[in-house]
Amino acid sequence: MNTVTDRGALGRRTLLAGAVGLPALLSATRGMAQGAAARTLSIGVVADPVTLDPAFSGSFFENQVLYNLHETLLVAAPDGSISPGLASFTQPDPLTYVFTLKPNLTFHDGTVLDAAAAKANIDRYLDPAVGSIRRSDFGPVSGVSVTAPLSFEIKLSAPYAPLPLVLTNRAGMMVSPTAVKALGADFAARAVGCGPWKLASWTKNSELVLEKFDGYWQGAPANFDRLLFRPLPDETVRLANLRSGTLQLIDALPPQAVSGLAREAALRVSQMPSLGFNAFAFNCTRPPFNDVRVRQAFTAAVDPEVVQRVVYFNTGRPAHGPLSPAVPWAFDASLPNRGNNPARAQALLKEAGASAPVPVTITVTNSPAMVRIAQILQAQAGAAGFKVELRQIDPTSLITVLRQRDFDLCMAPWSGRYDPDGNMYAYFTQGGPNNFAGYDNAELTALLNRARSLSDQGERAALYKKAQGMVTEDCAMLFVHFDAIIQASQAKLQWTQYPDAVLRLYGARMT
Amino acid sequence: MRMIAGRILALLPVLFGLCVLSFLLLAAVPGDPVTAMLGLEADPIAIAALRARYALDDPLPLRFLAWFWQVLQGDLGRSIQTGRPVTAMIGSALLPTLQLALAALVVSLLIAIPAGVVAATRRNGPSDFAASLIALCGLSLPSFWLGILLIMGFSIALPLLPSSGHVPFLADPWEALRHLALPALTLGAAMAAATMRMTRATMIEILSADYIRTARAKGLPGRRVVWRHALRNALMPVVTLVGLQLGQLMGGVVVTESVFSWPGIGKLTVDAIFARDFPVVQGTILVTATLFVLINLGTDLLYTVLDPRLRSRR
Repeated sequence: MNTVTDRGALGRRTLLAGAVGLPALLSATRGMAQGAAARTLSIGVVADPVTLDPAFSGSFFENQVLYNLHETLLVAAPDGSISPGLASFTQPDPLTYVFTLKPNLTFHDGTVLDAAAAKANIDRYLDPAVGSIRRSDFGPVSGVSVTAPLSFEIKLSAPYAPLPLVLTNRAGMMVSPTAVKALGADFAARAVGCGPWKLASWTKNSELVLEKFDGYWQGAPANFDRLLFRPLPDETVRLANLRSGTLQLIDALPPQAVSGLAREAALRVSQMPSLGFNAFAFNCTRPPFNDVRVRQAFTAAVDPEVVQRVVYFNTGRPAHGPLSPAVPWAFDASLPNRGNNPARAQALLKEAGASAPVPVTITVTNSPAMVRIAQILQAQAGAAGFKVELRQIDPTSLITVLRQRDFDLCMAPWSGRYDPDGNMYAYFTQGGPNNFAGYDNAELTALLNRARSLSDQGERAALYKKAQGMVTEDCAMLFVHFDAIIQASQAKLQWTQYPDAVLRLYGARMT
Repeated sequence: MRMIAGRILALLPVLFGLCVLSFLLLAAVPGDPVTAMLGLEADPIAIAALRARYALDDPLPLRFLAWFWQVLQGDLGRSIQTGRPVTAMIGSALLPTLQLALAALVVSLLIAIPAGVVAATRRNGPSDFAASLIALCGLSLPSFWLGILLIMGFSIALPLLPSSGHVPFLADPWEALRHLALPALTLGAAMAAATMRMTRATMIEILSADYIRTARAKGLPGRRVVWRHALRNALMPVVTLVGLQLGQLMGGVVVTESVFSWPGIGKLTVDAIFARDFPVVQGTILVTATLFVLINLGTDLLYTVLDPRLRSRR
């Protein structure tokens, strides 16, 4: 028995020694790992990209990788002003844009980026057989022709003022035509662009690593050798990884974390108004919301200010129309809050001859914030004479539900564009691809067509102001909120925030 | 040998049925891979072009047969969303899944077997209550919450371990183990609870058996009776349970994988379901179901090692 006891004691002692020594050992290797990783910027993003091919990128969250891997023809500053990117442009007449590429541009694979390569890219976006989602971004573009080795011309069939801004988005990203041909279906996972970083490795659902591209036209990134994108769908986990120092920058900080984080000196929260809107589409094609008075009644019953306080913790601002304050020249601050008026809601329902309570279903995805918003709408509309049921679906079903108009009231949030055309044309014109509401207004369609054809900003602003008035008066959609872009980083990291939430990290550096 | 061959043959109709079922289920939910891929921005012409490219407008039986014919030729096809070969996608997710599953298993057994034995030998004593309480916590704590708690403890308060990510074992074994620690602990804790309860229950039953009394009466030391004579016989049901647990782990553990951004097969499957990416869904189901059955087969073979009577019976 003695030996057994002794062995036990020894075991315990060894265990104790191990327990004391292990943390030191672990910490030591952690230090070493950090030294090696110092030139890597690790970023926590909401979702792993599905594709790295801008022609098929449909997810908002893919932008975080795409804008660092690819380069656009033109570049938008955070205030929406446009400057040359890979190319500069002139507009000799309303139907022609002439682009001149910078000299000596190459893609990551060494392919030369000249006018022929740019034409190949735009042709690919426009080709119906390719099926790119970028096609609709180009609006009335009728063709591209090469005019000199570094110059090409884009021809339009009708004036289209948003084109330069469109070319600062994914539609302006240039990819290597050689790689597109050589890689075929694999291009989505091994895309070759000409941005400041090139693809180094991609472990699905774990990490995507970009490394600096020495041939980048503005010079290789000076401050970081690598960008590491880590998909962490849960906001709490993203934040925990930032706090632990595993990540230096995270996207989409939850609004409720903002005030708490402000007290942590090592971290910094960055906020600005986003370009998009959070809104619900009324189904204008069937009862009860085919009657404008019922839509107005529902709108009157709801108070966006409550959503702003309860769901968004006072970040961002309540929305009363489709154009966000991030585009100051088109934003209309004078639009009234049509909500928070249950008495008017009841009167309107009575006028419409609806026998209260009017049954309606609100469809939302099963994200906590959207469900909370729907519950607030349910309570407020319930008090004003509606009988509201909630239906929760998954994000993929949402698209089908919206396109098939299989709803009474359904969430239809939009990430937004720098040009007001991007927030209105597709949503409110007759037959517009995102006119989920089925809102049918010939006068507004004509007005929005005219607004996109003008080049004078003052004239356009006046038209968009009128258009916003029409859309909100008719309650084509229920506007709820302009979200804020909320991102957080280590306080030592210097980087620039953009209202489209994209992390453009070429100039990021540690101080 | 004949038993093994029989079991593997019996697997084929099961797998076929599973493929048909999962195909039908995925077809029944609204949305298709093209709308999922192109999102809200897609214009109808792009949707039509891609639907035609992936033959999504064909009748359902035809689509299934086309896929199945491909599988018979050993090709799981390509993901509609990413264009990558499904075999490669599963291949790269399978190794991390196996790694995590085995590590979690080791963690759970290291906790569960000693705790279960101690709890059984000191039945109704303080150590039994303590072990049962811990087991109850392990069973009831959602792995999501435990994962975050462990990150807060071992990555933030005591910055010892990385809070997320995966390092391939061959690239850097030490870093690989450090990255494995927290996910394995999260998963192992939940598994340990069930195993510990099972060990305790069977140990209590066996410790009151006649042969144990005989062994004690012969004057064998208590430790030897418990750890050699009793535990070996108590392990049979535990092996069954652990086999089932391991089989389930082959399907991936979505929650733990997302918390630690572990590139396992669970997240791959769930993402593919959300994206209606049916070649990937079918492929992962096929592979994980096969593994599940094979592990159960392995468990059955292990019985013969543990119980010599089963050997002589064959």
